Amino acid sequence: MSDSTTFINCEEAIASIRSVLDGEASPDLSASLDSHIAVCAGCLEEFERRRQVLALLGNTLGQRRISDGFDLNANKRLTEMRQTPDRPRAVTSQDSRRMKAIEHETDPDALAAELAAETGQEEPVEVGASGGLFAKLGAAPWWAVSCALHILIIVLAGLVTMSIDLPKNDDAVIMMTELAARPQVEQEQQKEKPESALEALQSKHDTPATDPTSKEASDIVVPPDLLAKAELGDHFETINPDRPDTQSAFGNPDARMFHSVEGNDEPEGGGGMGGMGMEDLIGVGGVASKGTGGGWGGGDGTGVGVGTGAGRGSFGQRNGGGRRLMVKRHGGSKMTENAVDKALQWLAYHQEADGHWDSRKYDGGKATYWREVKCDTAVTALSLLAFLGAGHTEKVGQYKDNVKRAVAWLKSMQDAKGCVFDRTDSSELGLGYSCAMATMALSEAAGMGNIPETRAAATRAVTYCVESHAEGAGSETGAWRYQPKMAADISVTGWFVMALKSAKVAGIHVPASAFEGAIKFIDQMEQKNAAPDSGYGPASRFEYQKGAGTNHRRCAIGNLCRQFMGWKKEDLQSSVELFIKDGGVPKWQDDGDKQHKNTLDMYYWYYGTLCVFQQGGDIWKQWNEGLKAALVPNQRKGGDEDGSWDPMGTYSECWGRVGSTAIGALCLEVYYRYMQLQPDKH
Amino acid sequence: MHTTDMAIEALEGLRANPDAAAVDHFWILLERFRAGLVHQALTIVDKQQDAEDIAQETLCKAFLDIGRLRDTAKLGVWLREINRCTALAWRRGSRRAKEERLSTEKLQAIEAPEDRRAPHAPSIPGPDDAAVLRAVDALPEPYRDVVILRYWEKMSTDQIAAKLGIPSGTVRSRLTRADGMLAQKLASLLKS
Repeated sequence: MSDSTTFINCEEAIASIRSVLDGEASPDLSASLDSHIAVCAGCLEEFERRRQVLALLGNTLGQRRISDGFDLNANKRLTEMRQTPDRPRAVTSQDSRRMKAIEHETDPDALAAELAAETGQEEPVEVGASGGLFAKLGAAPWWAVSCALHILIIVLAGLVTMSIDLPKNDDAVIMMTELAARPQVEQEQQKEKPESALEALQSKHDTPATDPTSKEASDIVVPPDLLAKAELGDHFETINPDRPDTQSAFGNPDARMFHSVEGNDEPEGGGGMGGMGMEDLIGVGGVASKGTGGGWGGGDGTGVGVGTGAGRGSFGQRNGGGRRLMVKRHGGSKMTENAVDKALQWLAYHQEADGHWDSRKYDGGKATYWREVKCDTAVTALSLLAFLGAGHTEKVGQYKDNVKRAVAWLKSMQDAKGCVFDRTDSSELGLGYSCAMATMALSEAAGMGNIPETRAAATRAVTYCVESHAEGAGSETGAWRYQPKMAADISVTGWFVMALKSAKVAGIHVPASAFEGAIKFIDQMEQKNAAPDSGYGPASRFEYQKGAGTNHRRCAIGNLCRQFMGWKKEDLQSSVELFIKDGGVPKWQDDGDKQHKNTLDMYYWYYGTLCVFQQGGDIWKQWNEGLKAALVPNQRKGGDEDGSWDPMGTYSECWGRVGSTAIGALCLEVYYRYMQLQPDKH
Repeated sequence: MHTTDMAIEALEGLRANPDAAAVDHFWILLERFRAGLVHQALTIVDKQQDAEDIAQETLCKAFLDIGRLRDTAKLGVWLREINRCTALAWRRGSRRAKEERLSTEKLQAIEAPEDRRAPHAPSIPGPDDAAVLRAVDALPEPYRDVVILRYWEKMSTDQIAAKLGIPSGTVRSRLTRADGMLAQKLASLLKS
């Protein structure tokens, strides 16, 4: 026994037996247990008993494990059962006993014996005469039982009535009534009526309410001393699409303060010219010279441009001249831009004080099914991405305070391993999605704002994604799913691929093995030759997991991952066309089915929009027309919901109005959020 | 509530959409409950392959009849009930099949059946094995789950904690308590 051995009591000794026998205990704890059982006969006996129990368990269960093909066989069986019209039903013991009672009603002893044998009970189950009676009653038609009961009740009631003698005395009760004088109603009527609510609300002023559209000059005179103290409000709303909000991201005049000289709108991302304070804006570059490139991974900076000059680098086209150029080039309009502005405004007004968005507060949290869930991390990350997508960072933009608070909240949710997740959220399905979205948002915030703390948080989040959450490790790193190291699926993997791509573009190191694992996984999910050759080669579909089936949403994710990981768009054209054929272009149509069959599927729209945008060409034109027609006219106007989208369709019950609005904005930011990796010729 | 959120989510997936997307959740249901159901079936039938078939059938039936479950908190109990009835029906069916087979064996040569037994599964459990299987199966659900995940799925304490959404310390204490209960149930098999 070493000197460091701690003395433990009997309770602690017994609690430590399992970990010592499993080899999980520390040497000190093992030594402490040894020293305890050396002097305590009771614990020694307990130790020996438990050692034997573990040995029995090891002998009986240790060699067993579920067959490798269990899940696939179950899936096959499920498919077969679905196709069988007279499939077997789930039967519980209650159902089975009822059936047996009917079968064995003439022989209760046989039933008792069989039940006892089946349940492994020592004593036979009592199914005597009463069991037979109940079995017979249970077998009778319901109406017969009902009639019998009613007759029984009527007969009993009759018997009771006949047996009770009514009192026969002749005592009479004399009631005397005295008429009172009539109340003085008229006096009440003559009282003065109170002022009606309508009258109370009516203005006592002669002048009408100020109408901003009126051509007549207002006669309201503001005292000069008050006018001298007046300041501009922090925002200015407009409902005129031809005059977008001049304080918003679109055409933000504040941006000029960073550019003393006009910039340019050159195609490859352009470049801001001159100006001051560019270090605040540029992530990696940071010089006041013309940018030399743009797009994913290109260019010499990963910053954001503002003002009339286009930004430099990968995120540079999200604001200023670059943004206007991209909107025009890829089929956006002032209407789409105004819709983005209104959506951001709604999100900004509905952000919580600590920086997060509440998934349940605004028509969300009901889950896609019927149990309440909470996904604040995910909707906060999506909302933050919507602000970042429109060029608002922790340093610039009208909504920089909102961005700052959202980033701070996400950082506060980061654990020691780097996982960004609010532990009060529903975790089992939400952890993977939320963590990926948060990593993506922090990475883009780091790339655009270049604040060291944000960059450090994003780096830790990336490390968690690659080292702790992905399946496998090192060179065997695979893809992702809901929980760490869980067998991957394509839906969660799509978010992680986007997150890591954003991180890479933001200048954060991402091990190559992460993308290699994702590529391998996507390859495994591919169903080749899913449709005839349409001129671009055979089309592919993508499964959720091996053998778990495919749909248009999964195909959009698979194709987008391939685009982000370097596939040529010519090689993906037929597959992209196939999923559009399967799932259609966006269409605002509520089928009344709030679940997965709804054609209003913003989750599909999001992935599809990013993917088809990268393909460009005619399919993008078709998709974009559908997208605009679906989103712009259906954005809520007026009231507290002004600028938001109703949570409708697939998954919307979960993410609520916040999620729908964030995703709607992200869809309409597609023209400038990412550059086309292989641009169309213009 | 012991049943994990993941299984509840899976259940909800099944209930909400018995078609395409719910299949995603079917896999979660499989991952969460397969070992427990196979274990339970093994207390009724002899071969592991049969137990696996029963568990698969149970999960498929539950998937397709999910609308009949009223209280999601009782998902685990409901699945075990279906599994038990399925296993009993299976055993009755296999007895009948065995009787029929014996009567026809004399008349015609029967091709030797393919050995469908899982390669790692031990032979038919002996009396001690059956007692251990029954003792584990009779543990209260929280304790049974940690034991089954530990031995069937070969999970470490931390993995079980992540799977069930409980702290690692709770897993350790449940294992310790389960050991104590098993020691009482299996007292006759333990050497003094």
